[in-house]
Amino acid sequence: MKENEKICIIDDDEIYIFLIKKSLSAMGINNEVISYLNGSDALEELMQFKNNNQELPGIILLDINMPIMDGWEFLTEFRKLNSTNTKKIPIYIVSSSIANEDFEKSKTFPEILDYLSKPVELETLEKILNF
Amino acid sequence: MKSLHLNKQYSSDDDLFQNKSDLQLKLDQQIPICLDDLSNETDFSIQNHEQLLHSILNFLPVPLIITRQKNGQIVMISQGVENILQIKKAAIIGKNIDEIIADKTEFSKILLLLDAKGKIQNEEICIRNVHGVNISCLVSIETFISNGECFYINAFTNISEKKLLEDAIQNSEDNLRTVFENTEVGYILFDQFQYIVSYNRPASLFAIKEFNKEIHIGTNFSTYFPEIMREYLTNIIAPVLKGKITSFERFIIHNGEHHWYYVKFSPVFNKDYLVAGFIMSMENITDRKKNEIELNKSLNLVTEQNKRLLNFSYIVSHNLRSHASNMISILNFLEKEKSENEKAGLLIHLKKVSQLLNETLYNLNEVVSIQKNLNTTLERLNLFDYINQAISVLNKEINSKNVLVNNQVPNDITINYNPAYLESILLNFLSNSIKYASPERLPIINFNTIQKNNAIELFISDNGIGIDISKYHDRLFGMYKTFHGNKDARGIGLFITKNQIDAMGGKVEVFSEVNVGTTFKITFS
Repeated sequence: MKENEKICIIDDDEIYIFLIKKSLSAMGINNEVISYLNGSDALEELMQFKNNNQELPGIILLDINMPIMDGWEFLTEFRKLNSTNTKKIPIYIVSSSIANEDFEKSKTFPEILDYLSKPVELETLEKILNF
Repeated sequence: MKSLHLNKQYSSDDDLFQNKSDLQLKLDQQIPICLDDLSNETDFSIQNHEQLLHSILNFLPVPLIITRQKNGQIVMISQGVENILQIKKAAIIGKNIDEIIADKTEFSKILLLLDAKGKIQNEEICIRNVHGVNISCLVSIETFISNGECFYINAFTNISEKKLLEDAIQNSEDNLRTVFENTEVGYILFDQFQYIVSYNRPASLFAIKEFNKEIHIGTNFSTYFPEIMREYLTNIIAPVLKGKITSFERFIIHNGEHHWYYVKFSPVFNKDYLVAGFIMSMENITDRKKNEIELNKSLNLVTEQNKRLLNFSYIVSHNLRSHASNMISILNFLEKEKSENEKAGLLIHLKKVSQLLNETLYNLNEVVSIQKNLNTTLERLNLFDYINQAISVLNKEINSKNVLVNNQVPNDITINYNPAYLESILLNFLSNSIKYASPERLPIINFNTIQKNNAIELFISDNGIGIDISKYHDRLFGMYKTFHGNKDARGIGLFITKNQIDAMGGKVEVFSEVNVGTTFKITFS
């Protein structure tokens, strides 16, 4: 991904966000990281980006189980927000859930490039960021 | 007319026909059969008439016995008698007819009738053969006079085979009737015009339960139902009259008792395969139905428990994995980290993760203990008192937010419940209502109850900020699910509460409207 593109993390686990940021730093990735504790907060800010003609993130790492607005609801809402955007933002599900039900549901969203189970290995993180 | 020598006793054919070749010759000459026409014949012819009679009797397959009226003595018999009684002519001629009659009393009655009428037609009588076997016959008797003496011509028709067949049919019918009457299933046979042809005892009992009236042969099907049901019944019967089987289950309350019946209408076809009527069968399936209901209850319970277990395993897996994965990542960094400051920072995070893990394990343990405590002794608890107790515990929060709490539950309502669970449930719902009170109005929380059958429904209503049920209904009672962004919300209260209510065999429902309020309905079974 380009150096000026933002990495967006949507997860209610603050420690996980800290660890991802630390991993990115360890990998020498200096892209700006924006993080949100639920889908609703993320959606609100991404909408502002769009309204202010600011560039949307280059990648979204999305959790499923979150308060207020979960990952699935975020995806539905974000699809509406991003429908006019010609640039398709790659979205990865990063969750502690290993339920088949969640895995199968992720397949119904074409925006989702992959479903990753926590903890995400550094190699995996590097791979998805170097697309 | 020249009379036959009936007064003479013949002991054998040889006595009757001294010259058999003569007889053969006479038969070959085609002698006229009609005896009346013989009156003008010559002596030769008259002589032949007697021989002719003997000839006829000799080959006549119909059992015919000529007896004297005065003493019943047998003077002549046909070949048919020899056949039916399996006796030689010589052995029977001269005997009394009573000797071959099985039921002498019956025969005496027939003779009395003969005296009165002059002749008898097809009266049933039983004769006995030489081996003592009874043979059912129809007897017709004519009288005639010869030489001033009265004789009887007794003509028999063997009906023993027909009688055996009739007896077999009767036996079969009796057997069927026994089965029909003693079966548990009620049967009513209708003709094609829906009139009752036959019914059995269970059907009669069913009719009393279902229609509150006795059933009678010859009455129409529709007369047993109120006017309002007749169209419905016509629709049921229509396909049956077209040859189709119809069935349904029917629930009846009779004398306060609940009865289930399996009712079936089956067409009855005639030999041309046309519907000649139908059979209505009604089987009491109350026991089967009760078992089915119990089985369904157990199945629902097991399904519900299984669902809860799956949900629990999902929660355990998700929450433990979440902490475990953070620990792994932190430890990986710690291994590689050289800076002491960074290491200290990572350790702080590790400590936090271990605290969260501990908290999760505690909460999961709470859920496990709910399932484990299912058999704890239940107590009769006064709902009104327990609500007041919860209000008292949360008095500080109620006062600080100026909440008006109305306990409108009658003070005599009691429920069989686990005291700790009831306390926890009431505290949880009350604290939720206080926590999510609307800042725009004076918070009001009401407690009400409705008694429904054997259950008590408790309504806890507030005028708080409400929740979008269409969005969050599926997740409302999930673990670690929060919806309002409230910093104090841990997403565990409703989860634990629902588990406690479920474990006690009750249920919880929620009705809410954003910015209007929320009502939780708890059913205590």
